[in-house]
Amino acid sequence: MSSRRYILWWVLPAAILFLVIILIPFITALTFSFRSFSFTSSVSTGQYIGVDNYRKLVFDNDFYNSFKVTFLYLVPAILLQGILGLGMALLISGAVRRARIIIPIMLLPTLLTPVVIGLIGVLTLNPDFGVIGQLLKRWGLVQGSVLGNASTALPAIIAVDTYQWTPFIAVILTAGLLALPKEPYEAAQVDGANPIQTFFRVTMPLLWPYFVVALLIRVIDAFRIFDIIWVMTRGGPGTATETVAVYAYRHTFRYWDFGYGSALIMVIFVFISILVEYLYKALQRWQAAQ
Amino acid sequence: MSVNTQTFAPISSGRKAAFLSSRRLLTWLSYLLTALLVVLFLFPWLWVLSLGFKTRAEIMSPNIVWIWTPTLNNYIEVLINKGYWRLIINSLIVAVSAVALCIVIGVPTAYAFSRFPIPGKESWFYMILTFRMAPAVVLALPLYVLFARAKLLGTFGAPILAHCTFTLPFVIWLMRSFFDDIPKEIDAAAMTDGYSRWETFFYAVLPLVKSGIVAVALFSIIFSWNEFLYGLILTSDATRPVASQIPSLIRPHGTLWGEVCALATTASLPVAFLIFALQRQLVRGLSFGAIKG
Repeated sequence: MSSRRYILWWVLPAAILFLVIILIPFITALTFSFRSFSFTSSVSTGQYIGVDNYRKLVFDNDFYNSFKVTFLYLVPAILLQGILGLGMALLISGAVRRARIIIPIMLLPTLLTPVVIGLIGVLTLNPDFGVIGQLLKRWGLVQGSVLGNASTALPAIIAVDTYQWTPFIAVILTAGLLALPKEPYEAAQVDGANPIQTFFRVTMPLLWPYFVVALLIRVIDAFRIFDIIWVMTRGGPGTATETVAVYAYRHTFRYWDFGYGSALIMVIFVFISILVEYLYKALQRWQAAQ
Repeated sequence: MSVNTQTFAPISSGRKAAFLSSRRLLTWLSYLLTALLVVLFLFPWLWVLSLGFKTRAEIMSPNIVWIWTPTLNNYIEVLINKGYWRLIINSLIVAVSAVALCIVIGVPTAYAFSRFPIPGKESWFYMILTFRMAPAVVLALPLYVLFARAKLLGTFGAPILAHCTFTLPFVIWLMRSFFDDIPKEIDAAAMTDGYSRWETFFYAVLPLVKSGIVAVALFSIIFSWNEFLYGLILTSDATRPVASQIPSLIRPHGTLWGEVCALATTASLPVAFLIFALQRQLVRGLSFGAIKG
């Protein structure tokens, strides 16, 4: 038996499953993106229309809006979570034994069902009986409903996202802090560096690969976020919280426009694959470094 | 030992005593802050949990009720009288079947990726990761069409296969990192003893990654349990998992918050339990095995 055929038997079942549930559906969506479907018109029954769906996309303001919303949510969320996560990591990495107990508790929001996290957001921010919503109302920071107001709905989602993901960043950075080599610190001591200099010149550069992995995962996640927004605002009010994934969902499963929805999906996928390439390289550097 | 203290500059002996006491103060401060963090992260969840044990009047009270007599009425109503215990069973059926299938199929593949010279190995891994990271909405539409044609919509087969789209890549990716940790000399030794490749895999290597398999399986169960979109669009009322049903219970007016919270609590307790079971593997699972925790 040749070694090639031998290898085939190991990977064949996974390859078949991958083909049936991932590759074939993906290619189906790709062909859909060049066809016209509409459940409201009897004319559009799946005939090929070339790149019309993509042309429509280029002139679709709502599509650009969904990217804008995604970035408006992503950038503040990541900055906030990066800073808070670093602070938390510095705090808990101080005591390894304590970190063991604290990490599972802290990660509860990250791993808890996102729908439940969204529910926590809806309830705590409720202006009539929510613990936080009531306070915001009493202090006059928000008139009426936080989630019903176009200017506060996205900040509310960023806040819930921060609640969910800061622990994740903190835990990854804690792993980084605990794995730091001793030598650079001894060298910094010899050179008489003060704590602030040591932090910015030694700790941060050594920690940087961990930041890169955590942030890339978060950036990719920003294009995935769906359930939390669906529970909290359904993309509203208006399109104020309609991120890329919510927008694609609206076109595929609300308007049942398979053709245009598929074109949207393809653009999102290209975006994700570029981001994943960076993530993949960052992960490889990681594994190589160990 | 600790990183915090590493960042302090050397101190002259004259300032040592003062430094030590300020250090003790810092330690206590860090304890206090850590405790505060734990409370901060647990509080919103616990508060929502508490609503499930309150009556409607207590929940809607404009002054938050902190002390009350807990009631199980919401749980009885939503789980038993409305029959939503089925949703929990559905979640369990979908998660366990998908994960079992992907472990059986994915673990040998991960071993092959770790040990054999597979052509284009890194490209395959890049592709696996891309599909793992793509939003569910990318595959949701074509899967819907595919399952409709195969008459799988409304059966458990649809959500189970759909969940394999993210479980299989995860199993292959993470198990490969566990296999990579096992020295290849172990395989070589087993094979000089006359084991075939399969025997080596089963009897020599697999026992060494047992805890890894358990971790990957539990993680996959969490992800599957938490999944929302596939569970919503590919299922019928009879096969819908609990996470996908919860949002439909939230209405613009007259939501039965107590019952929603009771259901959400029931749905999140298994996850909380699994997180504690996974303690040691949390970092690795969350960062795709890149950072060994």
